[in-house]
Amino acid sequence: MALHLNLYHEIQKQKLQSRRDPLKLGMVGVAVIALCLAGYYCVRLREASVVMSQSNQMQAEWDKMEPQMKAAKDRETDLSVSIETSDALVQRIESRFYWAPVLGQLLEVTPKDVQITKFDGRSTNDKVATCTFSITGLSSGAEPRRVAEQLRTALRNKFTEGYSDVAATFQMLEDASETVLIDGKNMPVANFGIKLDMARQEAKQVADNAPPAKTRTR
Amino acid sequence: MKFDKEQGKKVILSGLVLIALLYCYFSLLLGPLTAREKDADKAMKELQPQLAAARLQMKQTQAVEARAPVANETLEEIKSMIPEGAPVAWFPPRMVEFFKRQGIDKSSTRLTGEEVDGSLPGFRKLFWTIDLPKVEFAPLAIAIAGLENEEPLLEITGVEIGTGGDPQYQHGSLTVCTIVKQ
Repeated sequence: MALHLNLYHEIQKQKLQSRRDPLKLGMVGVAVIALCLAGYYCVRLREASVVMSQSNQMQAEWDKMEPQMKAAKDRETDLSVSIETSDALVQRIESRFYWAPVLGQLLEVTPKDVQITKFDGRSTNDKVATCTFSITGLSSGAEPRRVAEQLRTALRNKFTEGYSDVAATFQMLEDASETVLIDGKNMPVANFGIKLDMARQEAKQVADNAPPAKTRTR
Repeated sequence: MKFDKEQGKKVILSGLVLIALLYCYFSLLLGPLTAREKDADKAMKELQPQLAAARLQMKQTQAVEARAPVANETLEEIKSMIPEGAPVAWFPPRMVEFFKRQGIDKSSTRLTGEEVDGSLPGFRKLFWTIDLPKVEFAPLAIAIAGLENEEPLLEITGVEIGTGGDPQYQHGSLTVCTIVKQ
């Protein structure tokens, strides 16, 4: 049996001890962990820089758009005032209450044996164009009250054609003491007063559909 | 595995180095980075609705700008119908002239009131009474038709026709409202 003598065992032991040095191993471990952490930091840095770059882009866009938006808002306010004023004026012109047709229709329905002595009418154009007028006069004939009633009915029927919510009521109807000469005959006379209330049809339809308008008056 | 005293010291030192490294990593690198990212994200979330509102505002303004020329034209047209100067100086003579053209020689116009309408900035309403002492019913109705057609900014709010001093004629009175510049 051959005898082996290891004369370098001291050196080998030192090498082994040096290789298993805990500080060295620890430092290697720390270096590996540091490398991993550095890699993770790089990934996170990239992600964060994307977000920050987007944020900076948006901020730059906002810095550019904010004055434009303010200017646009001011301009819109100015233009809106003009548009609303123009619309209000046009609406006002178009929704006026016209008296000429009322007077024309009144002339049409007034018979020969009726004399109108007073006409008093008022119109409003707040929400719905409405008109109220009253006529006072004399009716004559064999039955002057009936003539007055025929006039009231004729007025109501005539104005119902072009207006809505037409109401014709007698304010007064009484026999007069005097008589009038018609076609050579003395006829009895009645004094009457008729009041008519009505609204313009298209204006009422518009008002029914539209939201309430706000009007400020001084 | 057993460490001798020297090795134990080295292991503790390695541990301390590791702790220091981790502390520096989280507090000096990753922490601030995450905070900056969060701030940027928060800023983005705040800016998104503001930017959307700004874009919407621009679109709305463009839409309004498209409507504006027609409205301005209408407004200028309406303004051109109103003479310059105090209304009391030009409106009564204008009415006298109008009724003369209609064959009604006598008329007088007086100012009875004034109103500012909030829906008509830059304009005001003036109320007038036009007195027509000698009229007949039918010619007055024709004159009223002419007035309503010729004067779009004028609205007749009241008509009174009654007997006057002269039994041959009636006495007419019109209440009108006009729009004038402020």
